[in-house]
Amino acid sequence: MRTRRRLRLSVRLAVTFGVGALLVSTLLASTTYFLSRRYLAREQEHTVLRQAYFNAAVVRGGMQAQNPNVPALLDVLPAGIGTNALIEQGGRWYSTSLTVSRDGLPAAVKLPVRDGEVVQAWIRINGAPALAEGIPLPSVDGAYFQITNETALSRTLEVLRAVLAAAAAAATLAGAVVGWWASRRLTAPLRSVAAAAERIAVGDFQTSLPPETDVELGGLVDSFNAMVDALKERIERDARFAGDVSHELRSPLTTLSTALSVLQGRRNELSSRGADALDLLSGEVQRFQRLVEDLLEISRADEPGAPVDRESIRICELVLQVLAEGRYGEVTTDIDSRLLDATVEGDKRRLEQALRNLLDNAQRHGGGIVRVAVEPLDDAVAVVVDDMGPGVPAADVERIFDRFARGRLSRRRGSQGGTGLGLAIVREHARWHGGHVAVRNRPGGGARFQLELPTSGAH
Amino acid sequence: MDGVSDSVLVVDDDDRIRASLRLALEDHGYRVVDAADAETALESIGREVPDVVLLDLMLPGIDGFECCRRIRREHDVPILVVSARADSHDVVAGLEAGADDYIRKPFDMPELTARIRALRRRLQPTATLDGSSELRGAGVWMAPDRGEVRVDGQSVHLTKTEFRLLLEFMQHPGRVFTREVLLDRVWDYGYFGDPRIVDVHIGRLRAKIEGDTANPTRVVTVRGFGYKFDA
Repeated sequence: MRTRRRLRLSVRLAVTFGVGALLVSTLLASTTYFLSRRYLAREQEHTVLRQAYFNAAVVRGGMQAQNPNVPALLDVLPAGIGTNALIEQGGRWYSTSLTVSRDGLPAAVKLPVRDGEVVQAWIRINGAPALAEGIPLPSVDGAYFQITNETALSRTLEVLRAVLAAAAAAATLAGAVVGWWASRRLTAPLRSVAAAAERIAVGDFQTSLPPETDVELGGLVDSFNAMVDALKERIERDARFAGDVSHELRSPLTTLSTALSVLQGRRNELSSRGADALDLLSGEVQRFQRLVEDLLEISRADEPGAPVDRESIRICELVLQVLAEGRYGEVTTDIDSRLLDATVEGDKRRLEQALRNLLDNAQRHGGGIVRVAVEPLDDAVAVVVDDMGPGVPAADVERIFDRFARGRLSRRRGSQGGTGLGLAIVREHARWHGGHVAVRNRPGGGARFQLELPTSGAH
Repeated sequence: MDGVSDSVLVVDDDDRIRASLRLALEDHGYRVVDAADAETALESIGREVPDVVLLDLMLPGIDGFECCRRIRREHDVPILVVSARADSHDVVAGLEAGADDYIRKPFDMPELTARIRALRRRLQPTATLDGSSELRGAGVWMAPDRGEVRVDGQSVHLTKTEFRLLLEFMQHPGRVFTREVLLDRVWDYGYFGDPRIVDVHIGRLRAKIEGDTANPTRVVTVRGFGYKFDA
């Protein structure tokens, strides 16, 4: 069953923090912006209205004079930059500017003034924001209008908006960064636990986590280390037990094999039935002996952290040497000449045994050895053993390397004195050297066992 | 067996193993003396020195290591350690206690007798390659036929195995020997031996003929290959 993997915790935390910071900073920024805008607009409205009243009073004074000259009156009005004044009297309009006429004034300003109301409104003149005031002057049958361009205010607000938006963005980013950092900080112990667990999975039981000062994380570290210790102890105990059993079996086996050798030396004194029984007994004692050796070997492989000196081993030399022991007769060898100096960092005894077990397997169960080859791989070397047996059914390709797999294999491979541990030991030794072993069927029939070992030197 | 058969002292606390070894070794023409513990074994050696001692390391009371050291203090007799434990630690400790070789339980009789014969051969006086009776080099003088060794004029006592090892080196000064070759030529085992035997014996030889064992100048290590004698 596959579970859909969610985004990494650090990413999720960063996003959460980022979104949180975005929400808070946006809220703060918009509140600041709207409050500032309202305050600034009010201030401006106030100032401008006061000026409009003052100007209206001046206009009313000027118009109450005899022969009022309205255009001249407009000229003397104290007006700031961007302020335009309009005067209406008896249906006639006077303006300080050509750009602003009575048509520029919206009805919303003009109509209430006609009804005697003072009006102030925000309008747009040619797209630019402006404040318009209208003050009725009933004593002279007219009205004073004033339009103030407010581009400066809107610029100020624009700048404020930009600054606040930038601040919000920065806060969002900072939030995301803090979230990411916090998650890294939080998950650091998790990652070290995961790394330690990985090391343990490949058999490095020296692993323990450094003590943690934080109380909560310290609990995790302590219980993890306790678990490693318990696991180590248990594995060691199991391995020790198998080892102890094998050792205890050695003494009776010594007596058995020594006494048998006496009988074998006196074989001609036995009847033929007695001699047959002796042969059976000898064969089984030998097998028993091998089983004890193999059990011990496997239990040693299980024992974590047994110190071993590694040396550089010329793999081709080793292969030829094992073949020269004479147990396998004439064997066709195929050694890549580029590999003659290839070395493997490892334990000679283990490599020899792995090799012998592969050869024994080919001889016992594979109908004999067809060919032994040493072939180059990337940064590795493959020792290939071909046999002429029936091959290995697909279902057994993995299981064949299990301990005592014989009984579970889908096809009987005969039992000619094997211990059921030979290939399992090959796999242990291959792993011990950082390599692995695999089997497949050759195109021409028969099985091909391939032992791959990482090389240390250049080919 | 030259009329007089070789004697083997079997030291093992397991009665049945002693009984079966007596049967088997006697069938191979050896005279067998046995002892169930170290005290009895040392007493027996005090009465008569056997030709070979077969010593189990796990003994009640005085253990095999100590027994080995005590025998070695007084006698040159070849000691073959028999151990049920084949851990590096036990093997090396046994060899360092003075054993010449070790064999693991359970063993095949042919292998055991082959080792006993090899140990016996080392007891024979040895002749040099060119027939001369003395060898010299790097301040070491040895007379193979008389079994004498002097280092810087001082007489040094070597066990038979150490003597054979030094002889091999001095006959071929400068030649690099792999541990396998030394096993074959000194121990006479071919591929069956354990290279650790060589390392331990080299260590013991150095202790006797080198001024500073941490920086040997006579028997030097050739990393990745083996050892050589620097004359």
